[in-house]
Amino acid sequence: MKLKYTITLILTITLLSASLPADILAKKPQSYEDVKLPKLKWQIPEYSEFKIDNGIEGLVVEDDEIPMVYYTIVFPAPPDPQDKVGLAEMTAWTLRNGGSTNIHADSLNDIIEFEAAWIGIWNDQEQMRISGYGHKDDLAFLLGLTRELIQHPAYPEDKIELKRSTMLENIRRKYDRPNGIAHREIEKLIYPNHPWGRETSEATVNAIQRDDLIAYHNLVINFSDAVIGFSGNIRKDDAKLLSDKYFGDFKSNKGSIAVLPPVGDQAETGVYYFKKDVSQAFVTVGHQTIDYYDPQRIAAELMNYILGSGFGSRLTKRIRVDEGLSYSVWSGLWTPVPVKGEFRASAATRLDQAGRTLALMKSVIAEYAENGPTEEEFNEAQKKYVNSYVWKYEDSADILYRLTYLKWRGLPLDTPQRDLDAYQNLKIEDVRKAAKELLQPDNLVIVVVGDEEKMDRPLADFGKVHELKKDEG
Amino acid sequence: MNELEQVAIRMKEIQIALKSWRYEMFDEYATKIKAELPQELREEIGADEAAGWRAVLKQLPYNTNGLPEEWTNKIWLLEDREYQYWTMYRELLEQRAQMAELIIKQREYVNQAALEKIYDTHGSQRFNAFTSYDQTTYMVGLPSNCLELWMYIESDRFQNPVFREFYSEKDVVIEEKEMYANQPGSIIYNTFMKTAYDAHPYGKPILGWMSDIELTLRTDMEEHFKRFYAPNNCQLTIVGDVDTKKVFKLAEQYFKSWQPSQVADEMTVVEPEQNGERRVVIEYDAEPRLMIGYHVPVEPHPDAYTLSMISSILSGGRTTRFYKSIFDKQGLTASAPGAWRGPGDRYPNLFIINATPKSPHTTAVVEEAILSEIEKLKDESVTDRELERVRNQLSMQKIQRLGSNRWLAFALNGAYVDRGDLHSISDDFDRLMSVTPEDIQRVASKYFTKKNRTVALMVKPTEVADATELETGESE
Repeated sequence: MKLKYTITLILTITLLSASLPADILAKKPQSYEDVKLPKLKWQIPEYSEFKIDNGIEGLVVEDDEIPMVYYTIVFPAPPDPQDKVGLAEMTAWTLRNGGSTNIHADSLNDIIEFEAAWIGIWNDQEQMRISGYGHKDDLAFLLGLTRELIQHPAYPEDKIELKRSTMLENIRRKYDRPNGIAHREIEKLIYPNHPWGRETSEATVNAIQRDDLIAYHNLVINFSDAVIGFSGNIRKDDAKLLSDKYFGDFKSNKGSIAVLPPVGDQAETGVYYFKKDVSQAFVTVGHQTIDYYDPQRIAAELMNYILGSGFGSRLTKRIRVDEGLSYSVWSGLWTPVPVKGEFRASAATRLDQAGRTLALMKSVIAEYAENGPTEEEFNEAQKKYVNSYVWKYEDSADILYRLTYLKWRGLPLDTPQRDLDAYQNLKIEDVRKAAKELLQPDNLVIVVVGDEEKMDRPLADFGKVHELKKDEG
Repeated sequence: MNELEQVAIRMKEIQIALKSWRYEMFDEYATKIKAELPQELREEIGADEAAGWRAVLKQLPYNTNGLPEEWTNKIWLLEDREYQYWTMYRELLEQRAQMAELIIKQREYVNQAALEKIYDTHGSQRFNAFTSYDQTTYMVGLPSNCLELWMYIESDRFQNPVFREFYSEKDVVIEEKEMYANQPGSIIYNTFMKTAYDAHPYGKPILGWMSDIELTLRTDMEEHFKRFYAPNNCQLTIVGDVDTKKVFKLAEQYFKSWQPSQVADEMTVVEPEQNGERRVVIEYDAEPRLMIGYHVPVEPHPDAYTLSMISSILSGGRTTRFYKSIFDKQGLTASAPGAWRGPGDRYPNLFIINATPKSPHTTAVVEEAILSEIEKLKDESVTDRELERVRNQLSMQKIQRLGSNRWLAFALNGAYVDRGDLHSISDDFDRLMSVTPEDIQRVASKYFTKKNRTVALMVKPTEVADATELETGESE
């Protein structure tokens, strides 16, 4: 792959030294609208697919610009058990940092970093991802090490304890930053009793044993539904050959991986207050919303963009630009694949104007829900989405990541193209409908971190106040 | 809008006349009154700032006799001869209300976020600007067909700006500063920097002090703009799918009329040599942190390359010394300590180390472990394999970065600002690759001395005594 807009040259202009004959100088246009721009030519880059006998599906995005290769393997994974929150994180970390029964962790790190390469293992509540990056000549070497790790992991006690103590320290530090507190608390309120609304605690981290890690590993490292992808300086045939060589003999058994449970009702509307001695209040509001499969997904995305993303958005205009109340104010709307999504809006502001900010935030959301965007706002947002689509294809590793995600989810690989068409076909009525139906200004869960005594309005003005406390211990 | 500027000037005069302590006391009282307004009134005022201040003014007594008893009894500043100050403070609140109204009125003349919208609708990415210690940078990513649009807009905004929304944006900057003021990492960093530097502006926060921000006028900013935002103090960098000849032609066409200013390299302050270890303890209700720094030179000073090499030997991967020894083997910290140079690259800077102790280990124990790694650099030669590894990583990083247009643009701008020489990018790389084990021992011994060291500790107010008693050596 060689995209038209990747680097073809580098140049800098030091203005003092720029001097060209005057006769080539054309006249400046009167307005930016008179500047004639050539048509942008680009197309969605190609990718290829392969499959190996034990069920692994593969994807390749070729890009020869630099002699590097990136690869990633996705394994579907279950959410953490309620009494062992942190299990997936501890497993992923110890798998990467614990070495194998044949190669000590220190030697493993030494040989990887000496080659200036990288292997990373990462998880969330639905997947474990093993990725690697390095010079193309080191690819077989990295895949070999990856195989060694997943086939003969050591999970040594000392590394498990190191990870455990690190996780406990992070729990100890979780009340240090006001925005961190606000984000965690609102997740718990929007996804109550759900893996997405849970957090690690001293008890859950201490409950995890080595056997749990090994059981988790054996369940997750299963190639029946795994997806492998390569991007960079590699040919599709080599990708298939190497995948087969290093992972083709792993047995696949259709294991049953628990999926995320559905989401119950969010916490009751009202103000959830965490008292902290800071000079700036952190305010975040939110409620549940649609999932990925909802027909309004694309309209909802654009609807939220107009409300709360970018300098031109409603929230930024009213709260930051007009009133100067906050440095950063935004809204977000997530439509995840597996369960219900989330709408959120946040701002940080001085304590003595926190009430004013919250009142304004609520009224901006309510007004927008009622009337939706103006023609101008809609047209600008639609153009922005369509014209900036090219950036989604700037980096081959990003493209690959997206493709492996779609493959793992069982979604069509041409989803980006379909989405682009959907953005192009969107009408303002669709976005108005989304604003009206999806935003719930009267059903907000409001989290405030700060000191109410120093605020300009009592929090009870915004609903029933529930006080949040630090965890015991 | 001159009316707005006049109100701002008057507010500044009053605020200076009141002196900060008196101003703060009055303001605290007014804020309390504001929070205690009847609920119906609060609902009615809503987000109307001017109405809010006027409502407070109505509740405030006209003269000091009407103030609460605890004030009149205790505070000598409310005696007759101070009466004028109270009147002035009331005037300040009225001015605040007026300012809020004028800001609203001003919006009639402003096409808000117009620039953003033009770029946005053309498919821009990462349209933003930042101020660092060494440079101010304006950036945007655009599809390659928008080259001339970029020329038009950028040449226009730097030659013909109108600063319409200064005062509401100033409030935003105050909020930005407040945001950092509540982040433990940022608190220790600022205190560490101002402790390490006596004279050089690297010791001052980029956003300045809160009182500076509050009292800055639009006219002050215009002065700054005229001097520093000039073609003779600027480099345009474009990386991507464009035609060189066309770029030069368009740059000439659009930017030629931009007039140079009198700006020169005005930063002449040289930091005097440090004459003894500096140690500062910050009491803050957060888990402990520490920072250690040494004054060091910057490129092209030959020792600077060695210092870069040292930072890569100490931190940045799983095989570095800090990771292996302090985080992994000894288990003293929540993550591997970091080592880098900052806060800028243009003037002599600091070799900085930061760490977050893992309970029950104290800052003292972690400091000791870090210092022992530093001593090892002086006493023992680094191994060839360590040095070889860092060289391999630096070479690979160089290749990798070539894949990013944005990184190239930043690197070229940095080379212009820091060195005035674009070739420095490749020269620096060659010099870095030729650092030897002997260089490392020599440079470590030269700069990593107690006399040249600054240490900042952040501890909970209840644990200050433990943290400051370094010599007891009790850790657990």
